[in-house]
Amino acid sequence: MQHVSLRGLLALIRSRLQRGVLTAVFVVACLACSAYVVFAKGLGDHPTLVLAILYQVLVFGCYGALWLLMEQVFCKDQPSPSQAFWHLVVAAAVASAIFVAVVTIIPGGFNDDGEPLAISTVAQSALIAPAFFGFAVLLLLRFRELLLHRRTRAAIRSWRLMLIALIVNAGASGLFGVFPESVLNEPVRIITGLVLLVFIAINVFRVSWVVRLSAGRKGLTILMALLVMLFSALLIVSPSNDLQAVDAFGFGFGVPAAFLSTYNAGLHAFAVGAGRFGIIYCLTSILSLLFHLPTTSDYRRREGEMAAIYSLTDLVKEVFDLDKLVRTIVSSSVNAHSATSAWLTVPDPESGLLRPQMVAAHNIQRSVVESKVNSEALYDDAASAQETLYLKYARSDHRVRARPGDSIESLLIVPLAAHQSVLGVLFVAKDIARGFNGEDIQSINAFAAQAALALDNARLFERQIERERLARELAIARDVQQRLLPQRLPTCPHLDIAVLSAPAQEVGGDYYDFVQLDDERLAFIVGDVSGKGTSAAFYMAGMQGVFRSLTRITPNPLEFLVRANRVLSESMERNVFISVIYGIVDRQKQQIALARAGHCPAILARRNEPAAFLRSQGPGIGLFRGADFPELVEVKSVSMVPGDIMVFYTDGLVESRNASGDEYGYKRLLASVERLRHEDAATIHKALLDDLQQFMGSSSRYDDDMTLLVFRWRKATQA
Amino acid sequence: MSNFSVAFHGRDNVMVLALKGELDAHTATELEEAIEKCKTDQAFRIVIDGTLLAYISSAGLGVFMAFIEEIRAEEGDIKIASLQPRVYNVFDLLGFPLLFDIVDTVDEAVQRFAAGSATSEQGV
Repeated sequence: MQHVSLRGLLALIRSRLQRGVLTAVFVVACLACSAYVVFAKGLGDHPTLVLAILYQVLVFGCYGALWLLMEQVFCKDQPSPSQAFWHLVVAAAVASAIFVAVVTIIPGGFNDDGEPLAISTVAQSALIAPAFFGFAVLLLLRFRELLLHRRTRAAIRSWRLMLIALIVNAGASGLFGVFPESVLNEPVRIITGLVLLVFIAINVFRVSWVVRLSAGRKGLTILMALLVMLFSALLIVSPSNDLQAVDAFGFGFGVPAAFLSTYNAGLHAFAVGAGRFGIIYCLTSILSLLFHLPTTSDYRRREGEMAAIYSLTDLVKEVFDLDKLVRTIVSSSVNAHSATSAWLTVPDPESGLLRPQMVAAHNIQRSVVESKVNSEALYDDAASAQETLYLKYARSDHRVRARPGDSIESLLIVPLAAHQSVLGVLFVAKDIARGFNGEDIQSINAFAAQAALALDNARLFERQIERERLARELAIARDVQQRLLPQRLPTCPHLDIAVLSAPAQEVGGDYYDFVQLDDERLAFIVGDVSGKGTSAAFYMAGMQGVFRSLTRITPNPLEFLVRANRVLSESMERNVFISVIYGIVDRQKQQIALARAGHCPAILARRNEPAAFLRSQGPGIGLFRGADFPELVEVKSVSMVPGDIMVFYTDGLVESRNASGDEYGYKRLLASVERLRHEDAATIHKALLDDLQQFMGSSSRYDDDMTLLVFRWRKATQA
Repeated sequence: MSNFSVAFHGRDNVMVLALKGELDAHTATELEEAIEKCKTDQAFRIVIDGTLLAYISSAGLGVFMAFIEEIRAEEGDIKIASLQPRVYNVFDLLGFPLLFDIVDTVDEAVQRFAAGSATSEQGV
C-alpha cells in the first residue's frame, strides 16, 4: 500500500510541477508577446526580421504551453456529450464576457480596412487574443472526446492528421505574416487551408455518441450546439470583409477576429481553422441529433433488451434461487420487450412427469392464463419443434380462447432449451395483433437462450444441493442401521461366534441378531428383506423390533415365526417378504432348534459327516398371510457336539458374481465349509470371505447385501 | 441397456409371458408393466415361461406376489413353467411352490388351465 501511495504521490508532484512550469512558460511568454505587439505595432516601427521571427517562435511556444496546460486541466476525465457542449457554452460566455469588458473599458477600434486605430487597440488585442485562443483550444479538446467516442485506430489517425493540418496552416500564416509580400504567401495559405478543410470533412462525421443520448438530452444538446456554432462563427468572421456587416448589427467595436489578426496572423489562422471545424462539427451534430430523435425510443429499447440479458447473467452468478430466477425471467421479458404479459411453464418438477406447470406469470393472473390459453398444447408444439412459435393473431388460434379484452392478441411461445433438452417454455403476449417484429423475436430468442442457461445452472445447483442432502441423510441412516445390529457378540461358553454384515448400498435389508434369553438359551436370527436399499432397510428395522420383543415372549421357533409373520404381514407391501432363519441355542440340551422361513438353508458340518444343507420347509415371511402359514413351517432340532459347525448366510453371498458373470453358488460354499470344518469360527469366517473375494476378483463389488454368521460348538469347560 | 425382456403370445385363451434375461430390482418394473397389460386386456390366465430366465432376485419374485391375489380374484392364475434349475431353486427356497403352480413345461401349464376350467365347468 505504502509503495503505491508513494508512487501516487510522485505522480501528483510531477503533474503539479508540469502544470507549474507550463503556467510559468505561458505567463512569461504571453507577457513578452503582448509587450512585443504593443511596442512593435503600437509604435508603428517595422521590427527587424530576427525579432519578427523570434516573436513567431515565442507565440508558438506560448500558446503551445497553453494547449498543454488546458489539456492537463480539462482532460482528466471524459465528459459526456452534453457536458462537453456545456463546457463550450460556458467557455464561450467567459470569452464573450472578457471581450465585452475589454472593448468597453479600453477605448479602441479599427478603420474600415481592419487596421487598428490606436495603440490601445493593440492592448485590447493582447487581452482578447488569449481568451479566444483558449476557447478554440477547448473546442478542439472537447470535440476530440466526441470524435473519439469510439476509439478506433482510423479515428485517432484522422484526428491527428487534422491537427497537423491545422498547425501547418497556422504556421504558414504566421510565417507569411513576417513576409507578407512573398509570392508564395497566397498559394501556400490557400493550399494548406484546403488540406485542412479536407481533414475537417473527414472528421466531422464521427458522431456515434449521438445515438446513446435520451430524447431530452438530444434536444438540450441541439440548443447548446447552436450556441457553440454561433460563437465559433465569431472566430472566423474575416476582419477586412465582414466588418461592415458585423458593425451593421450595432456592435460598433469590431469583431474578435480583428483583434486576433492584429495580435498574430498565425494565431488568427489557427482560430479560424478551429472555428470552421467547430461550425461544421456542430452542424453535423445538430443534424445527426435531429435525425436520431425519432429513433431514440428504439435505441433505448434495444439497450433495455441487452440490459435484460445482462441482468439475467448477473442473476446466474449471484442467486441460485429458482423461484426468483423464474420471476425475473418473466418480468424481464415483459419490461425489456415492451410486451403486455409473460408467463413461464416448466415440466412439473414435483410429479416428475413432463406435464408442464406454470411457475411464474407477470402482468397476468395465472387463472386467466389457465382458462384462456391451452399452454400445454402450445408447450408441446414449441418444445417438440424446439423452435419459437409466433401466433400473429393469437385469438384466431384454436389453442387460445382469449376474448378482445384479454390483452392476448399476439403471442410468442419460446422454448428455453439448454443441452438439447427443453427446460421450459416462455410465453410472451402483446395486446395488439402482429405485435412482434422480426427484431423483437430475435431479441426474445437471445434472451431465451440466456434464460435457459440460467435455469439450467440453477437446476444443476439445486440438484447438487439435493444430492448432498440425500447423501447426508443416507449416511445418518447407515449409522442408525448399524446400531440396529448387535454392538457386541454374546459371550457363550459353549459357542464360538463370528459374524459380518455388509450392505450393498448405504443401507440394506440384511439382519442378524442375538438375544440371551436366560443362562441356557440364546435366541438368534438371520434375515434378508426382499429388494435392497431404503425400503428394505425400513422393513429390516421392523424385523429387528419384532425379534427383540417377540423372542422373549414366544421363543419357540414355530410360534415365533407364526406371530412374526402375522405382525409383519400387516405392515408389509404385498410384493415384499422377509426370509429368515430363527433358532434357539440351548446349552443344557446341547442342541440348536431352528426354523427356516424362505431363507437360504444353513450348512451343518460335523466332525465325521460331510457338510450338508439343513433344508427344512418354510415359506418366507409375508408370502402366506392367512391361517395356513403354521402348517407350512417345519422346525428342526440339531444336537450339537463340540467341533460341530453351523453356517448361516444371505443370498448376497451365494449370488455374488465374478467378472465373467458366474455365481459363487451353493456348491462352492458347501465345499469351502467342508474344507474348513476343522478350523475355529473366526478362521472359518475369514477364510470363507477370502475365498469369496478371490472368486470375485479385485474388480467386482458386492451388488447385494451380504451377511455371514458362523457358529462352532465347543466344550463348555474350555470357557 | 436392460438385459431383460418380456415377450407376449396368446395360446388357447392363455397369455404366455416369455421372460428373457435377468429379473431383478431394476428390471422388475418391466414385468410389472407386462402383467398390468394383461390385466387391462382382461387376460387373467397367465403362464410365465422361464426357459430363458437366467436369474431372479427377491425383488423379481415380489412381482408375482404383488399380482397373484388380484389375478386369482378374477378367476385367473399365474402359473410358472420351464424354470432353469438354478432359478427354480430360488423360487423353491422361498416357498413359492406352496403358493404357485410351478410346472416343467409351458404346455403343461396351458393344459392345467384347460383342465382347471373343465373341472370348474363340471363343478358348475
